[in-house]
Amino acid sequence: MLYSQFVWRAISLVMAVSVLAPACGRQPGPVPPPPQQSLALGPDPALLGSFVRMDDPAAVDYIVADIGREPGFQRWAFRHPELKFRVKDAAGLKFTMEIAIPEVTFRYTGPVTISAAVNGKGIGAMRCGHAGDYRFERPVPAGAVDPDRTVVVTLDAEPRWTSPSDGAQLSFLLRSAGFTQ
Amino acid sequence: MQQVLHVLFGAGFTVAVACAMGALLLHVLSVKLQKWETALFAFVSGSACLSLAVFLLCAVGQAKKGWFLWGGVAVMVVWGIVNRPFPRGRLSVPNVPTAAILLTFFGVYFLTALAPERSPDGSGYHLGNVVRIWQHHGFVWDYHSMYAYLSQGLEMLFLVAFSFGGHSAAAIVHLAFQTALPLLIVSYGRRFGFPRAGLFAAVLVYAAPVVGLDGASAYNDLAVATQTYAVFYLLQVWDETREHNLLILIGLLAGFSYALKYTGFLALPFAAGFVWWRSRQWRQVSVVALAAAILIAPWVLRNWIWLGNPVAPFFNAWFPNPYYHAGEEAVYLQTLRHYSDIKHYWQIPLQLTLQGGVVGGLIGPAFLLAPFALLDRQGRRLLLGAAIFAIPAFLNTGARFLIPSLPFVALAMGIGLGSSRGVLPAVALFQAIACWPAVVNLYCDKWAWRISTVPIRAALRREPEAEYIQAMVGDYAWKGPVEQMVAAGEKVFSFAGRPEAYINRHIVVGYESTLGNLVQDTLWAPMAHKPARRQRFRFLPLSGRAVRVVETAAADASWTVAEMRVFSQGRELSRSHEWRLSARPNGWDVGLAFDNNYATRWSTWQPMRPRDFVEIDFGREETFDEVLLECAHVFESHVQVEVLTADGRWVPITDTSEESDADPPPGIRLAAVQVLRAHGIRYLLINTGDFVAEDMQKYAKFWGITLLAEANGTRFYRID
Repeated sequence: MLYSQFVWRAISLVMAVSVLAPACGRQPGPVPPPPQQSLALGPDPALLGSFVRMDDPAAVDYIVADIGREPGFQRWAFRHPELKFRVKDAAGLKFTMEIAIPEVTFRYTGPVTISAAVNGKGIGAMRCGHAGDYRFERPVPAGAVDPDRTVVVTLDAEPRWTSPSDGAQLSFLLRSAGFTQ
Repeated sequence: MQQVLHVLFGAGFTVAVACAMGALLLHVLSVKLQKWETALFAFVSGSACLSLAVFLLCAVGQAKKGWFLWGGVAVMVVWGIVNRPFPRGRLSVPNVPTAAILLTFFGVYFLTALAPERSPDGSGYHLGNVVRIWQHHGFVWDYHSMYAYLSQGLEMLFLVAFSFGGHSAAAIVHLAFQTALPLLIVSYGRRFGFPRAGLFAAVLVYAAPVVGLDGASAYNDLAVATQTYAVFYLLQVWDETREHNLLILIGLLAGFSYALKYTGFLALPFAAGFVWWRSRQWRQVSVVALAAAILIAPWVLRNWIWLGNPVAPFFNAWFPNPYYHAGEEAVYLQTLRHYSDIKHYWQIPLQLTLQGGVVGGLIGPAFLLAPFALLDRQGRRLLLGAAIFAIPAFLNTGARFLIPSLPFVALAMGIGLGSSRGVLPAVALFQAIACWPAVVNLYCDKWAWRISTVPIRAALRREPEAEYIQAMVGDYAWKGPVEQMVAAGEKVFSFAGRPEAYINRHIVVGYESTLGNLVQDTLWAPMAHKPARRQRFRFLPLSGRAVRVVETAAADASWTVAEMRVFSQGRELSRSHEWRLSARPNGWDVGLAFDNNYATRWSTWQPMRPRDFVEIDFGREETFDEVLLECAHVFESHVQVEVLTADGRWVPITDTSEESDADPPPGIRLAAVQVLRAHGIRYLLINTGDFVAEDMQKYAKFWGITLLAEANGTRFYRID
């Protein structure tokens, strides 16, 4: 027969290879540290302006804390959201932001009160009585902001939606924020 | 016209050599087949032999025109010497109306294949692999892309055709398989007593729009469908004749199905299962398996030796390797099996038969009658075969993944409907008319993948090739600029795939390899994941030979570390050459957490799991009191620090960290492009929709890049 003898020898070989194959995925060994890169590569663009939309490629540079890093036209504000800005002229400033209260969180939280502070000074609050889009606009007290210095804006929402599984808190969806005149 | 002759010679020579090899194989095996069958099985089995021979040439770097030409001539001479006359009998035309329909569609498909290749995957990786292998006369071991790891049994045949006739010659080789399929179906029907059902099925399958364009492109789905159907066919013949040597042929064809495309692997368990079911003899099954191994083993061994993963680019979690991340594989597979824009499951049959826009093509309205296949017992058995060969369609939503199951469905329909007088010709004629390109255009989705016009002028090269390709493949516009400005050997990075069969430069694509992943992740760093989070683990001073940070959480997100630093009394321990770094998983990238570059990071590249770690072995006892992790925000992550004590035990020290935010040092964009430069990437092709596109345009000087050209929504940058 054409295949009688070599068949069984070859089958044994194939079986052996089959058994050994899975054992041979590659594993890396320990390695020494790579060459160290310089940290003094040059400046970043002067990104901070007085206003930012969340889909701006530089939006992440305005975020200090507790705002989602995933790019998109709106980002989740978590527990104590914080943003930073820089204004050239501090006269007659208003702080504005566009936000949304999604139905999915409103169902649990009910009406939400959102307050804002500029460099630690409260500038007012807004009550959101239903799910939907809101625009927050409040004047900034004179002297609260210095021109060409970083301005930190802190936001607070009460109540917040809390994840039953890991305790993560969601305040609202932020679309844009900043100072206008 | 001379170009057309080259194309025809390349394809014709390849098919002729395959037929000669197959005829010799059938002669050696003394397999008794009918006249039509002998010709068809000579082609399908000879293709397997030729593919294997070309594989071996590629493996030893001898894939050269001379070997193809003289080797092919030698095979044909030998065949001429030992040639047995075809079996006696009339080589009859199956049926005049059916032949007329098949020939008419063949004309459309032939002209489409003869025109310059413009299919996405054909002009992308299928012929991209062929061109690269052709340029290097063999496999290119230092080129890494998931598409280069797939089995390339058909590309081996494409290579022969391409060496004489270029891209279109390869497509015509695929067309040969497409043409063989309906002939096999007709032949099967005649042999097994339902010739009318066979004719019916041949028309239904051959006229299907997705079959038409796929088979006329440099793809491989029709080759798989033809081979798997040939396996099924021979199994029935074997069941009837019990010729032992048929099992060898069946095994070879089943193995070649795997070599053509991984999804073709199903042919082997199908054949082995059938043989065992009908004979209950493991010895017979083993003959099939062994013969299949002849065609499967080369690809398995190639990947095993080259990459450490015999089935690359899949099962990377089982076979970890530095070339393709398991997590990226999971994302890729998830993308393939996800129906986008499908709201209800009942949309799927309509999409597959009538619309085709969401599922990448359509199979024609006659297949809406598929439930009639259940009417007959034999039809139901055929549907079982269809179900088996449709399994890949659960993993990939593209309509072309259903092609291997269509012959079974169509035959079963033919048998089920055959008892009603006049129904078969009427339905077949309806399918032929409804699938004619001009008619399909009237009812299918605008973006359905199909032949919408017959490119006669382009096929005959009356329309210049470059003009035609430019009109059909937008990125072809980059061929000139890229080849002029990028020196040979330099690399271009792109987030999206490009027609690499036409652009003669090494393009690193973001999702195709670990290098692509690294570059993509690095370029995203300034916008998406600046390592602004600092996790500081403080503890009482202690001595140890090694320290590691260990993940204790499980989550879908990856755990990443941009930099890991160790301190003693507020002073960072300098990273000594005696240190030895390791990590799990993805230990190959551990250096990225210790390179002082904030644009790079070590990542699990798969969902984080407890006991994932990054480790420093100091090489000697060190005293330290603080570990700092600089990373992006990953809320799910929870890390503990462990130290290796003198007695060789890992002792948990703390899982409490002080967390703060601080911007990394400036220049992260320059740090990112520095990484690209280190990997030989000097150019970027960025689509305007890419995440970094706007930032790169606004801040080109901060990236250290210069815009060279812009066209068709893509920008071409040089890294300065």
